[in-house]
Amino acid sequence: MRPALILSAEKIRELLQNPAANPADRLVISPLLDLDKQLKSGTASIDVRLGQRFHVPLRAKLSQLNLLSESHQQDLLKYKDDTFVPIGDYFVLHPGQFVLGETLEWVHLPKSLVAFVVGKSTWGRDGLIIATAIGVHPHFSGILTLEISNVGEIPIYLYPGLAIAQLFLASVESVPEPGAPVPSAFQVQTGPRNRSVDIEDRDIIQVFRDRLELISSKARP
Amino acid sequence: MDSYRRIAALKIRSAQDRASAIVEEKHRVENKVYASPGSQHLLKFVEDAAIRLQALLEAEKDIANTDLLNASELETRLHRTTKLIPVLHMLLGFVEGSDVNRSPGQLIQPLRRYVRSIIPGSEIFVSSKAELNYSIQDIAAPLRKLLSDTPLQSSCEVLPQLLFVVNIPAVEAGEILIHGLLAHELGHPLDKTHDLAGRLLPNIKVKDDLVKGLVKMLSEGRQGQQNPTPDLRLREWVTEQVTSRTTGWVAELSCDAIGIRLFGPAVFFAAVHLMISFKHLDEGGKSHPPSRLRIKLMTRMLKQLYSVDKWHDKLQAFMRDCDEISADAVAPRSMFDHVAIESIDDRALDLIAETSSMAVPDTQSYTTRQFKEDSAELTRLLTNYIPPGERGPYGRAVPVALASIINAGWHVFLCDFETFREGLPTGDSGARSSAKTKLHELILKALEISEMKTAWDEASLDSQRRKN
Repeated sequence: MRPALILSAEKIRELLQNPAANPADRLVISPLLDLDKQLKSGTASIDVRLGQRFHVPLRAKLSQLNLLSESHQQDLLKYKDDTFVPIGDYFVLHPGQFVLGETLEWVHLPKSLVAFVVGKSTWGRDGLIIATAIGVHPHFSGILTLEISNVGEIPIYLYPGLAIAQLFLASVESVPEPGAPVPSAFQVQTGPRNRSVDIEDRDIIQVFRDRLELISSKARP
Repeated sequence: MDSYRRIAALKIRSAQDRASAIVEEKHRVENKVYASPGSQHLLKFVEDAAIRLQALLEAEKDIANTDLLNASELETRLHRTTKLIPVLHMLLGFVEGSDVNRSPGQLIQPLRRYVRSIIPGSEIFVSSKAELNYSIQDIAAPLRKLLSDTPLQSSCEVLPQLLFVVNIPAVEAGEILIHGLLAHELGHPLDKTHDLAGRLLPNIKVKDDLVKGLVKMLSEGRQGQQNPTPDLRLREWVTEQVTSRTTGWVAELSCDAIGIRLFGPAVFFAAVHLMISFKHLDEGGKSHPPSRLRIKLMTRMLKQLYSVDKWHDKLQAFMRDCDEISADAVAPRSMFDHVAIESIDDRALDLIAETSSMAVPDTQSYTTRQFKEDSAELTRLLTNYIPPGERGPYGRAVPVALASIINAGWHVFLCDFETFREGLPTGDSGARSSAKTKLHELILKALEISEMKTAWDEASLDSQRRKN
């Protein structure tokens, strides 16, 4: 057992600059457009930038999102509009609007590291919430989906390429044995996307719902 | 004359309506996002031209109302302006499909950079169309020619020197590996610039005895007809058919050869995968040679330029299959094809391969060393789900070249795809197509990373210069 530790900027730099021989064991954050700006000495995080793709909900096409619905996956397809915003251009996020964005960087975590995505205060003070589901598990490989919403009162211009969040990295107390199955949650994530609820959980909740229905139907006169 | 004047007035009004619709459509199309400035150049040109047309037509109203011109002169004068309207419609059609929702934005930016590096002064826009075809054409030169000495000549000032429209199949817009074929398409402007046809065709002789034999056979077949075509006319026709095939085929083969030099084995893999999926191996057309002949040229070139015997076993097996297929003679589908095939023999193929080096300097060629490095280094990243967009230690990493990324992608697809697929989480690893999509997305991300790195470094330098 090793004590879990938040990695310092120096440790992150060391891991990035001395990559493990096996790519699977490497910490990868790519591209790092300006390593010294994104990884400041004395801190304990690395900045990540806003990517070019946005997944915009289309309210007009869907009456509701119900995680328990069997058509949830199909509904999600109707619910989205993918937009690509080249560097130099911008995306205007209006008050109350919610979009899925992505980090510009591809993040690959070895089995010994976990990460937490936290919004940068520069944006937060303008009313921008960057990420709510902030945990990134060991073995993750992909871009990070950012759940971006404007809780302020004025529209905010989002420029791809600007630092928007910071990544805190921590070591995991004990690592799984070699060959242990890799959890699949969001691994190899190539674009911002929604996700379906676990099917087994959905079925169990449905049993509860059926029971409630039964009780309420018996209670009816 | 009054009726002519009324019709002229109607013609002007109707043409103004068309021009105004073009301006409106331009505003609608402009709202989309385009990854390449080429689309914006063309939209600007169309708007500028349409506005000028409207103004010109307005000025024509006064002339139409006078008796200065007779009916025929009036019609000719107006037609000189109104005939340009369909051209503007066509140009808007080119832009349609080039927005980032229809064409992969991550590919277009590095492709644009690449094209500008091999053809300076050019601009591109990539448009996805509903046809299984790749093509490239410069529209700036024909537009300048068409509009020279017309009232719209000055609109051409907004056009770059060369403006290439690159068409890719819409259904497969995200299939980045097949887009390796774009290197063949880039061969067309390079072939033209370096006049490879002018160097090759005098050395590729159409076999005269075969032409004579064909004329004789056709002539005999027509003997019973009432008015048989004279032999001289028949020979002229046969020669024209054979020559047009030979010229077209040599041009296409030259582009294949240029493509191999630019992008290496990736072009070959892409060409074989696309061609065999829907084309008969021996079927040629007036402009395109049979696939078997193209495969033959490319396998010969790969064996000459690359250390094929040191490739991965699966690639060597693939090459052996292609070698065996191309060793068989092409079974001509028509008499004209037969003559063209006989004219483009092994000696001609080697000449085409050699001459293509004039269009691609060594510095722009994808080398056997690069392929070896990419196969060893970049494929390991891809099979571990890391997009190979930059190479080297952090802080000093350099962007990976477009050709290297695509070659590494093909290597994984042909040699390590099952390993790649098995490591994916459930859902992506199940269907072959899902795993393939994932691989394509990783490659696109690698292109994005590489381009971002390059563009950011350039912008940093510019920003520094501005400060100084």
